Amino acid sequence: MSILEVKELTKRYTKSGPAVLGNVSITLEAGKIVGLLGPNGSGKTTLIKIICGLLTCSEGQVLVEGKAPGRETKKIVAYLPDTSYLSDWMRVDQVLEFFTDFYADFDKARALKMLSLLQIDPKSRLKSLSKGTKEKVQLILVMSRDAKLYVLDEPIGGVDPAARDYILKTIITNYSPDATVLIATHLIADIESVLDEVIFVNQGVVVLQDTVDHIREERGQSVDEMFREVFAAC
Amino acid sequence: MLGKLIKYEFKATARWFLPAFGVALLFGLVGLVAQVAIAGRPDWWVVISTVLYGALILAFLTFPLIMSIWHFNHDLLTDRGYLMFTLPVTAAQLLWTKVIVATVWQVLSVVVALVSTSLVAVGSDGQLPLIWRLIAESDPRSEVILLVILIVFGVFGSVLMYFTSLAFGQLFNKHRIAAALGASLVLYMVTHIIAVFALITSEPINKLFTGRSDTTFLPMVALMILYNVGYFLVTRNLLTKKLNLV
Repeated sequence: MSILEVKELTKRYTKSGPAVLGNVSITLEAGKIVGLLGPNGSGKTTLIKIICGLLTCSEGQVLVEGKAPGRETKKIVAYLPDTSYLSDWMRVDQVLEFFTDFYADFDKARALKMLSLLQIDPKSRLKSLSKGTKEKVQLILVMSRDAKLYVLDEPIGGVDPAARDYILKTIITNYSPDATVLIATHLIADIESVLDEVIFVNQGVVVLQDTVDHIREERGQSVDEMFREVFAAC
Repeated sequence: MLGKLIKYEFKATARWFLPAFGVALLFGLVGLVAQVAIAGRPDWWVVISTVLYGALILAFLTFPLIMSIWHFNHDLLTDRGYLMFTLPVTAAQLLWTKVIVATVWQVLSVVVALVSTSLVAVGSDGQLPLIWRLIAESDPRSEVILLVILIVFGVFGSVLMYFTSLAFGQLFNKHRIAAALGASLVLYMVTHIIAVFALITSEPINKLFTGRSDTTFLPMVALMILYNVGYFLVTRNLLTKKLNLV
């Protein structure tokens, strides 16, 4: 069974307004790292929010392991938003307790190990951490779950190149082989090396879904070159 | 999961309410000492201190409702909502959590305000306020329980009405707070028009069912329950089927 099926999905923010997503259909199989790639404003975040149940679609259907977004799908989907969603007044260890309480698949020991590697004190309050460190804490929380689908929205968008390497390494080393990782970004070159498949989105429409190997072998291009070619033409 | 949500909700909100309760009780103690200290002074001393204290208690009593509304919006309908709505819980559980905790804080704040004003009253004339005597002398099986039920349902309903308004407001992509304010005005007017109508018509209805016409309690409680159920279902459906965390 596919881990994610998006069928003829359309999203309009107003009834008569333009479609932010238009008739999008994608299928993700288990065990892949998939890049959801597109320029800013192409509809990546909207699609991700619909997959995670934070927005409702105007038409079409989203199925996560055969189920519409809801309580059951939230047990198996780990979502990293492109903004901070933690309470600043909490300490890092309190947030770990929070995740332990709510997610049966949360591995606290793994989270503590990653915090230790990054020299983040679990006793520190979130409000005392820099923006980049908070992003790392959020990524650690998400990647410490044994989820079936990881949905990461711009995980490397706001951090320095050194942190990007750490984040990508964290993603690769912490997801289980039968899980799927969907990474939305416009920073193709940084992320290309970890991807198995790519989905190009432009102006709310999927313009390409292909494997990275196929793009390299058949087209003789890197994903970054392909991206520039596709989006230069749009 | 509801228990865990309530635990974290109390932790998050106790940061404001416990200090506020402390301040209200402290002012009660200060008022007690001040009343003794200004005994025999000109009347305007008493007037000024009473007005200042009254304003403080009024602010204290409105604080829980305002904070609960702010917290509902902040926790569920801003960036924090990305976390709360991706927890493996239902929208109904999130809503129950918010309403139960907000109601508990509001009822506790009424109790704290009563204790605080009682301290000032004792300092003023050495006697507890009339309300304590009324509570002590009333039949615990009737008036006191009925009053508590009315207060709890009333608080529950007022909190839910504002939560429903915010849930309506989030349907809009811009000016959400303005839309929520508009929705709350409409809901406030509609519910009060119905309540007035119910009050006018409750006497014959009450007489029909109970054979008594001297109380409007039962119809009012029925109306409150109806409001609360309606608000809850509408809010839950908006947060489930029309969630719009743009």
